[in-house]
Amino acid sequence: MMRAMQSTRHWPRRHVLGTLAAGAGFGLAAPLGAQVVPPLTKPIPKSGEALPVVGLGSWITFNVGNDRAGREASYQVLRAFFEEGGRLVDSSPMYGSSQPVIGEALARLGHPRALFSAEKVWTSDATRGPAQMEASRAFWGVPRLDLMQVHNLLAWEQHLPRLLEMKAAGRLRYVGISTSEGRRHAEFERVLRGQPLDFIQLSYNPADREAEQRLLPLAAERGVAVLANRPFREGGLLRALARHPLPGWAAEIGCRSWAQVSLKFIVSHPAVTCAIPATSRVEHLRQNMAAARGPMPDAALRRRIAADVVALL
Amino acid sequence: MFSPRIYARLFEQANAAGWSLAVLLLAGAGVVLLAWARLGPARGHAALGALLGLAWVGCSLLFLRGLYEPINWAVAGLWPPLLALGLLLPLLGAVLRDGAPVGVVPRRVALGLAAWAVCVMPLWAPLAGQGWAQAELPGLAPDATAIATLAWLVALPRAKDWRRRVLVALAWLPVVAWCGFSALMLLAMDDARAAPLAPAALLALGARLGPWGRSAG
Repeated sequence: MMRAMQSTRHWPRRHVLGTLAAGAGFGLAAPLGAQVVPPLTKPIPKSGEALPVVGLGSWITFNVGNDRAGREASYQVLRAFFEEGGRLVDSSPMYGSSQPVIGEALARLGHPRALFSAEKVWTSDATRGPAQMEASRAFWGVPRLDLMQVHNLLAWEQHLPRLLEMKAAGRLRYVGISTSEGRRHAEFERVLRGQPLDFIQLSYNPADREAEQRLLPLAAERGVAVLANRPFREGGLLRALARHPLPGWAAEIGCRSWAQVSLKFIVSHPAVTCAIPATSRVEHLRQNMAAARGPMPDAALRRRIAADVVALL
Repeated sequence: MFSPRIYARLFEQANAAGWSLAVLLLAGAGVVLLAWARLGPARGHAALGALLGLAWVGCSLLFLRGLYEPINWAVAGLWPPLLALGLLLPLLGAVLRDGAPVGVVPRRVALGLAAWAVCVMPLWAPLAGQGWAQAELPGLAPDATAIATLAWLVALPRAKDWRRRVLVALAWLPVVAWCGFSALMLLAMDDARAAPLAPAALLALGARLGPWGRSAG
């Protein structure tokens, strides 16, 4: 029925070591006196580096402009994220003011060492790519971004070679591509097959499972990490499920909300490395991060979760 | 995109920073309307045009450029034409003082649109439970200012030569474009305030361009 987090024998040894390393790193980065259990991690296939299975997206939620109250809320969310053991934060130039808001919050937090910065290049004019990526790095206030993705495959033929050059020169650590809402999956697959990617980002949740057919198995086959966006369909999935009580199996995997059900479903897929829910509320952030702890559904329960969720929609 | 909560906060921030401008503009419009009989339609229209021009300067710089553009990059291309409108409207009001008056239908449509902008739109936020702090005030909030401007344009005396007609057309363009753009943004947020914008623009255009638009005199 379920796979206990403690049953590390089900995970590759490299993952176990990665988990232990992440736990040690978390201990160094966590505030003194913190009692938070480290989240479950998975290794980035190309490097073995451990990533907590729940990260943080910034689409809409961090686009608060010059609103001081909004910026304070964003800072509190990011602060809670690192307190809970989070690492990966994902953004894009497309997300309005999210980048400077993230950067301001990171500066207030003293630039946590645990940060894994995931950004995107988003311009149809490939000549503008380098300047845009440099502007993104400057917004974050980091010496180097960890992951750069070609956003929605926009001009990927021009951007990808440049990203690979930057990686070879040590100016990036990882290279990837992104899409969302099931768009351009055929082209996405072609790029995934033909290019030396480290990451892909796509939409995946109990109601949107198209990626299971080809992209997730292909990513696993090629050793490419997977970031799952839209875990809640921007809230639409949760609003549709809100009127239904949680089924009995939810308690067996430690879920107290449909959000946690969705996240555990997503991150328990063998090919998925990290889900990136976005939120502007600290309590939701903590609930999301709690989904990275405790028992995870096995394959049978995953099938049941998907069937039950679709039946309720 | 941005959240409805952050969008609503734009009005709160604009009102906190510019409420005195909104009060001044509304008071000025009230004085002009009270003195309408004494001023006559031509001078009254010109005075309202000057007030609307000031409104667009304030709205463009404070709300659109200062608050909205940081969360919606598309606004970067829209506020400059609206700022220019702030300079064009007083000019139009002055050069069309000798224009032909419009008919009954456009006058009534203008009155309805003006009442919507000044009396109904500011009530939306309080009635929706968001409080007066987030009220959309004409002169600060672009949608309310756009509807008020449509009212003014509908009732604007008709130009007698093609040059002034071109100026009038130039004034319509950014306002109608704004109504369309804002309606799309509000639709994306499932905000019911999207509903009146496009119909208001179409109603105003119809009232202005239709055969009923000309004075019988």
